[in-house]
Parts: sequence; C-alpha cells; structure tokens
Amino acid sequence: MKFLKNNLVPIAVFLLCLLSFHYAGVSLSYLSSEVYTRFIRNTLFVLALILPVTCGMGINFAIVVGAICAQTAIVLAMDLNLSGLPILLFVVGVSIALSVLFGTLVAMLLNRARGTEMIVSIMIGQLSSVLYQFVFMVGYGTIFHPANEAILLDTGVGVRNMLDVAPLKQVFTSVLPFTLDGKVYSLLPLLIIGTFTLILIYLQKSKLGVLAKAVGSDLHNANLLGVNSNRIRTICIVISTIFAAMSQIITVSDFGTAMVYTGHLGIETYAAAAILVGGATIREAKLRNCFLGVVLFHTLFITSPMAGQNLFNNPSVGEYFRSFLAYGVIVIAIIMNLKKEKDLKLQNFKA
Amino acid sequence: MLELKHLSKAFDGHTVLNDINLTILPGKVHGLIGANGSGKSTLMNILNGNETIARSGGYTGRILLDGRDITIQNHSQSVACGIAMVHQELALFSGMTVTENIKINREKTRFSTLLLPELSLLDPNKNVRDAQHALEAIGAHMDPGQVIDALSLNQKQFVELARELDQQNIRLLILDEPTSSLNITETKALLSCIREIADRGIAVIFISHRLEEIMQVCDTVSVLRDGTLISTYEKADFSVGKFADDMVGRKIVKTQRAAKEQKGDVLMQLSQINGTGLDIREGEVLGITGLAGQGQELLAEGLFGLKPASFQARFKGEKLSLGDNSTLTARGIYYLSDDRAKTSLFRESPVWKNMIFGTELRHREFLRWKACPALSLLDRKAIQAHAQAMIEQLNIVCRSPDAPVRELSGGNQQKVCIARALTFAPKLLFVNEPTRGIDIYSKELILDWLLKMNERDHTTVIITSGELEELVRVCDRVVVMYQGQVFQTFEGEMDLEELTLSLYGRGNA
Repeated sequence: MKFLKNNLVPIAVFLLCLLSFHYAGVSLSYLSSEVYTRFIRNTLFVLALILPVTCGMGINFAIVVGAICAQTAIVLAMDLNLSGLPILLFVVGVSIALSVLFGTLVAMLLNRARGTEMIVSIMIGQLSSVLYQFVFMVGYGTIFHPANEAILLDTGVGVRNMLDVAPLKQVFTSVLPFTLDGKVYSLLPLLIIGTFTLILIYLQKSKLGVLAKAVGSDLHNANLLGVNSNRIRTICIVISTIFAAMSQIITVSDFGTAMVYTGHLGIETYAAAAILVGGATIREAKLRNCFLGVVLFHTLFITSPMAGQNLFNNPSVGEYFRSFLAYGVIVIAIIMNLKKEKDLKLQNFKA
Repeated sequence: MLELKHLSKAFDGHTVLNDINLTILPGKVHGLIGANGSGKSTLMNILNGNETIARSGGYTGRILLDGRDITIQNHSQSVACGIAMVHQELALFSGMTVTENIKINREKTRFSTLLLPELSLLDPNKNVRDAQHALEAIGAHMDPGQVIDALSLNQKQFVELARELDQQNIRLLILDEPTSSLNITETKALLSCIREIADRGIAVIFISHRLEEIMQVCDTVSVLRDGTLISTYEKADFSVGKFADDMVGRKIVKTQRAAKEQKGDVLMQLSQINGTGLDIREGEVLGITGLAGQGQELLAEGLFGLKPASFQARFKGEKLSLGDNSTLTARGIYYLSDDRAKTSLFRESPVWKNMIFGTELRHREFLRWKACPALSLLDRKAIQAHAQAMIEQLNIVCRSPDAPVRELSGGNQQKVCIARALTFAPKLLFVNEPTRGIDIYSKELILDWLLKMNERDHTTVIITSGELEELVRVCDRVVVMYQGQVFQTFEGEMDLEELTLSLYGRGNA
C-alpha cells in the first residue's frame, strides 16, 4: 500500500503506457528502437536535473543554456571544417568551457532568486535562447565572418537553420555499430551516458553530494554551520549545464543535422516531465527516477498519437494527449509536492 | 580563557549590546540569563561568527582568547578559535543520516581534489567511526547510519552536541536553550552530560530560561538586561529572587489604567487550549504573555487562521470556526498582528487606504452611493478628511495621507494600524506586540490609545506582549501561557516579580 502511494505517478503512467501500446498496435521492436533513440537523446538532459533538485533549487529549466552551448560549439566546429576525432574533442571541449562560463552566470542569477529558482530558470532559458538566436541570425555574416561560407544563408547574413553535421555523425556511427529494427545504431552514446551516470554516482558520494543534500534540506542551517551554500549551488548548476551540453551533442550527432535555431527548444520541458513521470519530486530525485521516467515518458510519447488515431480516427487527439502529458505531468507533480509539503509542515507543527 | 572587553553592538543605530565585560573560565559552566531581547542571542551570534553580525557592520570592543586579541568575522574564524555552538532551534538536516549530520562540512575524504575540494570522494568508514566516537564521548548510544528524522528530540539534541564536540581543539561550547523542548528525564541526561563536558576542561556558556537548571548546573551566572550586563553571581550567591529582579529591572511608570469596579459578562470563551480555557470579559483589557514559543501568540493567530490551532472559540455563545475571518470581522472582532509588514499593512499603498481598508461597510460616509455599498466608489473627500484627523490625533509623522506606508518609520506604521482599528471600532480587538520595536514616546501614545478605545468605545482589548511592565500598567488581567496552556491569571495589583517567575513555569497554577 505504501509502495503504491509512494510510486503513484510512475505506476499510473505505466498502466497508461500498456493501454496506449495496446491501442497503438505497433510492434515491440519498433517501440524499442524508437524508445532507444529517445533514450540516448534525452537521458543526459534528465540526469542534468538531479543535482539542482538535490541542492533545493527545484527543476533547472535553464539546462537549455547547456544545449545552447553545445549548439554553439557545433556551429563553430562546422565553421572550422573539422572532422574525425578532432571535431568530437573540439565540440566537447568548447561546450564544456562555455557551459562553465554560462552555468556560473545562471547560478549567480539563481542565487539571487532564492525560493523562486524554477520560474527564474525558465525565464533565463527563454532569454538565452533569444539572445543565441539573435547572434546566429544577425551577427553571423555581419560582425562575425565565418571561414566556411557554406554555413551561411544565401543572403550572406545569418547561419542556415539546418546544418549538416555529417562529420560528427560519422564519429558516432563508426564506433560499435549494431542493428535494431532494420536501422543501424551506435553504442557510443550509450557508453557516454554510462560514463556520465558513473560521474553522477561519484558526485553523489563526494563531499559535494553531502553538502548539496544539506543545502537542499535546510539552506539556513547550512549557512549557520559554515557551508558556503552559494558556492555549492553554483557548482551544481554548472555540472547540470555541462550534462545538458553533452546531451545536446549526442542528440545532434544522432540526428545528423543541427537545427541551429530550434534544436534546443523544448528539451527542458520534456526532461522535467520525464523525471517527474519517473517518480521524482521537485525536492527529491534519484537516478532510477531518471531512467524509469525516460522510458515511460517516451513510450507514452511515441504510442499515444497512434493510439489516438486508431481509437478516434483522429491523430490530433493523440497530439493533444502528448502536450497534455508533458505539461500536465509537471503541474500535477508540483501540486502533489505542495500538498506533501503542507502535510509535513502540519506534522512538524503538531510535533 | 575567553575575555570580552567593552563589547558593543548596534543594529541601525539601535544599541543592542552595550559595553559588555565578561570572563569565561575553562572547565566552568557559565550561565547567561535575561528577558527576550536582552541581547543574549546577539552576544552569542558575535562569538559564533554569525553572518548577520558582519553584514550589519560588525561589533566594537575586544575579544581575548588566552590573553591574545582575536577577531571573529565569520563562522570559520570562530571554529578556528575552538568555539562551538548548539543552537536553540536544532540545526540538523532532515533526510540525512546521523553521521552525515555530525560530520557536516568536516567530512573525511579518501583523497582531495586540488581544483574543487568539494569533488573529493568521501570515506564512509572513517566518517562513521568519527561519529561513533563523538556520540560515545557524550554517552549517547545510537546507530550512526540512522536517518535523523527517526530520532527523538532528545537524541537529536545529542547528535547536535556530538557534532559540535567532534570539532578539533574545541575550547568553548555555547548552548542556547538546549533544554527548551526536552522533558524532565531528557533534561537531566543532558545536564549531567554538560557537567561532564565541562569537567574535561571545556568552557561552557549555558543559556536557559529555566532558572532551576541554571541554579543546578552553572558555576557562575550573568544577567543581561536591555543589552547591558547587570550582574554576575558566583554559585554561593545564587537566588531566584535576585535573578528575577535583575532581569526585570525597575522602570518609570507612565500610562496607567484606572481600576475598574465592575466585571463585565463573558464576551468570548476560548476552550480546549491544550486542556485549559480562557474567558474574555466584556470591556476588559486583557494581557496575554509568556516566553517565546509558549503559545501566547497562538490564540489570536489561531483564531484568525494564520497558524493551525485546535482550540474552540465561542463569541457570545455562538461557536466560531477558526480562520473564518469574514464572520469574525462581521461580529466586530478585529486583529492587529505583530508582523506589520506582512499581515497588517499594504506597504505600497497610501496611508489613507491603510487606515480605512475593510472598514468601508461599517462607515457608509466613506462611500459615494450609499444605497449600493458593494458597488460604490469611495468618497475620497470624506476619507481624506478622516485620514487627516487620524494623522493629527495619533501624531503620525508622514508627508501626507497619500504617502505610501512603507516610507513611514516602524512606530508610525504601527500608529497607522491603530488608526485602522480605531476606524473599524471593533467590539473585541486582538493586538499582538503593539509596542515592539517602537520608540518610547510612540509606545506610550499607542498604549494610551488602546486604553482610550477601551474606555471611550467600550472595546474589549486583548494585548499579547512580552513587555510585562507595560501589561501590568495597562491591563485589568494578565494571563500567563506556559507550554501551550493557560498557566496562571493575575488580577488587580500584580507583582512583577511573581509574574516573571510565572513565565518560567514557577508559581501556583
């Protein structure tokens, strides 16, 4: 009973998944190949959310900044006409450097917005997205002159929306390829995800993990005991941003094309929905919430439009269901959180 | 060992500590007592390097450790000097284990990283061993791997003690009301533990409101009042009477109520306040007091739904539901909170709006269309005239009635609150800490107006306050709350000393 109560959200979504899968009428291998694709594209975004939740900042919607850093690095790499191992190293290196820089700036803002970190992080994400689009749409060709003219629009100003990143994709597909449902996949993204999962586990067992937990549990007490909470929160946000950047690199290479202006949009919503579907709250998030959440969320995400089409002869019902799923789950999880906190407060008060 | 010389501290020009000279000896337990707001906490915050001190401009005077001058500007400097502190409200982290709590910010690591020391890997075995040692040293037996939330309050207190004693080279341990939430047996265990700590050669500063404990465990006791060190007693000279005298002091009496002959009927009945009850009589000025956290402010806040409460209230025999404020105000029950900024004022709104808010339906003259009050516009002229009159009567210093209330000083803001209560003209007025943080002249004026409301408008006034001396002056009756219960009621000629003792749960209930 307690298990049911504690895992209400994942269990409910799992049942929905079964229903949706049944009515969608797709094969299990199709579903698993689709889920695998989304798993490698999304898992790191979701993992990026753990540390900020641990240190009490809620869901870091500003992981968009990480994705932007990665896209910037990729555009620069294409501009420099890199290929092979150098392009991977360059993209990873530059996006980490940018993530540290912009992640620190994001953290500085969020440290000033104690108590309202989530809404502020959403706004930071939106703002940086617009600034980024502006730089590449207007700045390129006017202020910055690329070495590789091919990435510009025909007018000579602004980067093309779709950039072919074949050199980057090649690096990925050349490592440990395997076939699923008639398509060729690479194991490299899985290895990267595995590595970063291990890094996250290490961080949770490090001093940072304990201090972040302490800051998340009681900011005031942590300061009282001499913990530099702002520093801890900054480190967590920077790491979160780096994780998001890595995830975006995997996503773009998996696509084979970089959507310069739109590739980073919406990732934070899906990541937030996935982690909440996995049973996390805005106060507590574990690794298993991430993995479970990604699989459940995307299973539903893939099958629901088809189920909608089969049931109502109307695919748009399924599309609505998709949107409802993403945003609805966030709202419901936040409401459940508030209720939990209120109960806790009452309990403490009675004690 | 530790000497304080001419230590002073002011917040925004308001002196809270004045020329404190104090010597703390190793191996001795030094008691520190004083009323709320006497400066105990500020003194301890200075020693503990609390960030609020540095942020508000630091302290003046000297702190000497073993005859050497030291400066304490932040927590780590305080720790480096071997000063540890157990806070009144436990500074523990829920959801974390006993070990994690004890070793917080002092974790042992397997190796350390150069660039970011936070990224070093913890050594769980060493940490658990350290925690075990720290717990054993104070005679506490518990599993260090347990999550802190599962522990009893007493055990939590021991975890907190263990955390502070785990510090290397600890010289001075400060205990801020460690027993306030413990029962008798738990208190006993803690007190004997404190003695043992002192016997190990560590100096202990022990703050408590419970005078018996102070008498029992301390070697020396210092009394603070209004930021000044009044006296220091050695064990041989301990006496509860002297302590109480020194804590309260003597003050010049100003506003004074006229003794009432007749007792009114019961206006409001509060029952099931943790098993006790309180009757409020029509036309009286009732004071409710108690030490911090004894539940005195809960009566009004509970009634108006600001905090969860479980007592029952009847107004003229009619049962009221807590937090149903529209009914409460319709019956003429009004409340002015002590938290002016948050619950009593619209800080950005002009003075006039704050004065008449919520009183429009009781004052048709403020409305333009008197036939349809719910939809009516306000009659600005009438309101301005009223506000101006109030400003003059209450001597409120402000640019004009149109000035936003946040521009006003604390005392004047409180006067605006009083003006609204006057405008509302309630039958029963609850007011919490009406004189807190207010200069002496405004204080008297506010008390005077509260009495005037009582006499002129026959308003029953309930004042919740920690200012005993004021309550004795203005109230017909004073009720003392202790541990969430109505502990004792004083009537007629009230003895300040008896009242003070009653606050600490002494006296005949």
